[in-house]
Amino acid sequence: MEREIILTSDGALPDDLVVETLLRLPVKSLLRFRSVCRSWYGLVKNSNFIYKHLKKDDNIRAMIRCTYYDDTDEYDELKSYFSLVPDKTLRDLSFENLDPKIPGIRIGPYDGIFCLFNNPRRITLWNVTTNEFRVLPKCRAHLPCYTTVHYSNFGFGLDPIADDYKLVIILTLWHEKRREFYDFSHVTVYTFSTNSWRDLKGFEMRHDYMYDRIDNVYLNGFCYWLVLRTDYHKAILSFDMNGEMFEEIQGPNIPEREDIFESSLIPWTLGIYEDSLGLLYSDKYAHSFDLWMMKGGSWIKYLTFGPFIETYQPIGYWRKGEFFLQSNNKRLILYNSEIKEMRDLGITGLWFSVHILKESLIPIKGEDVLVDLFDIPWNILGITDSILS
Amino acid sequence: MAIMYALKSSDNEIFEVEQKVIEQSETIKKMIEDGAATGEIPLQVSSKTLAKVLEWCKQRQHKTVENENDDNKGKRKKERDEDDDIKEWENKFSDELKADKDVLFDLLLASNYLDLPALLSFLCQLVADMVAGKMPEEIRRMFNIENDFTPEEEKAITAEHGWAFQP
Repeated sequence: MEREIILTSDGALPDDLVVETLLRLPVKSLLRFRSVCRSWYGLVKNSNFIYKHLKKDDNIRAMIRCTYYDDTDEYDELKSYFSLVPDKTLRDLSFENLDPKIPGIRIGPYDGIFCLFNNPRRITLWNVTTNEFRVLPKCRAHLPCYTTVHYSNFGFGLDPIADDYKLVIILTLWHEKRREFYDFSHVTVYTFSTNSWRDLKGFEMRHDYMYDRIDNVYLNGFCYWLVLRTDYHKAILSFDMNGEMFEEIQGPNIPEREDIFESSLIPWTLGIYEDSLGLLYSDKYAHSFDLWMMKGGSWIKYLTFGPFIETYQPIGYWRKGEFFLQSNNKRLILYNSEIKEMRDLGITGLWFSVHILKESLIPIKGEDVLVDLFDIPWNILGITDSILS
Repeated sequence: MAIMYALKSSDNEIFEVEQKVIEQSETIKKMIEDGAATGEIPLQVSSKTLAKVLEWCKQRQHKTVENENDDNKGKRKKERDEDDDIKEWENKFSDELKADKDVLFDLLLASNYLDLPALLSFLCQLVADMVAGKMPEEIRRMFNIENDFTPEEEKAITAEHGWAFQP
């Protein structure tokens, strides 16, 4: 028989230690432990707790999208899968294939939330860990006469001042009569708390960007997209989630080739590195990489790694000092720049993208009626103010 | 010659400890700085628990000293070997604690009282790993918590995320 734990006179851990312990649990355990008692239920639903849990340092997992060549299938040779690797250390690479769960186009995840575009004309938000969905109302953008949507780009993230998630869509328009791009892009914003869309007005959004990816990088209240201008210079477009303004940011001062078009083909890999905007750059014909970081409004070259004998393509960011690369023989590599170690992850593919998933308790469904039924003992959080602040 | 301090447990056992080892505890460090620590330092911690606390602190201190003595050459390789050693030590430390949850919880309280953030964090993670797969009823028993839901309420909450109750 299991022995009872008698610790203090009432045999329980103090509330602050309970909170500290629960913060370290996976989402699945926390959803189960909501039914332990009312105070735990209230805690797991508390927005401070949810935020603190989300921001825990080791709350990252890799999601790998791999497109590969399947020569056993004569009709459909190019195949792809989208997988979640549960092992945080990436030693055990057995994964869960998420394709059956989320077919079609998806962007994200941001704070554990994906935007799915599998339903025609409807967007669904999906918290991958809690498996909760929210189908958004139809987006009815009021477009200028004779224009149609040529392509769309997306940004999703938190407005930290309003404490509200927003989805921003930039629509690049085509003018049917003039047979050319319309002068301005159209921007529409979905707000999570009001569950509604509205068009953004009051500024002229350049129409002539080519976006590197359909989705964004989000950091501290701003969405960032890597764009190519018509003059073949690269730049970064930022969107302030609170002020709802766009701004074009210059990239780092990287020497360009004489042929500016050729320069534009060299990939920049935008991402988050140690809570700053990072830009990984490798000259196409060189074998080394520079990591630039945006610090206090300007770019600094933060670290350089290589040169390697072989060439590698940058794929993405992992933990401190670690980067995903693709080798010449199409293998996914995890490179640790601190100990200078290349680790072959044993996956072969033509194209890879790696996304970082943070397990998140953020509720996606509409307001839960159960919350109102309970008298939540907020004192449990009052005691832990120092932990949660 | 290292400065030694005498710590007195709640059951009056004396532990002679080097200043550097015990200064990891912010609580004791403050007591020393305030001059309150002349002679024996009385602590609200049992001798059994205090022995464990000191075991942790000595291991930590050992690591810090070695790193200070290193030159940079070959440091990385050495650090990795050391990390393996520490991992092994921590695993053994964890296994002992897992076997006796009373000691584990007492140690958790002591690390909080003595203000040892690294130990506190380590222990919280250990408890989290131990309970992650448990069911609510086991949790209530372990943490001595009373179920204050009505059966209807509990059923409704369970149904909300039924998948979380699957193994």
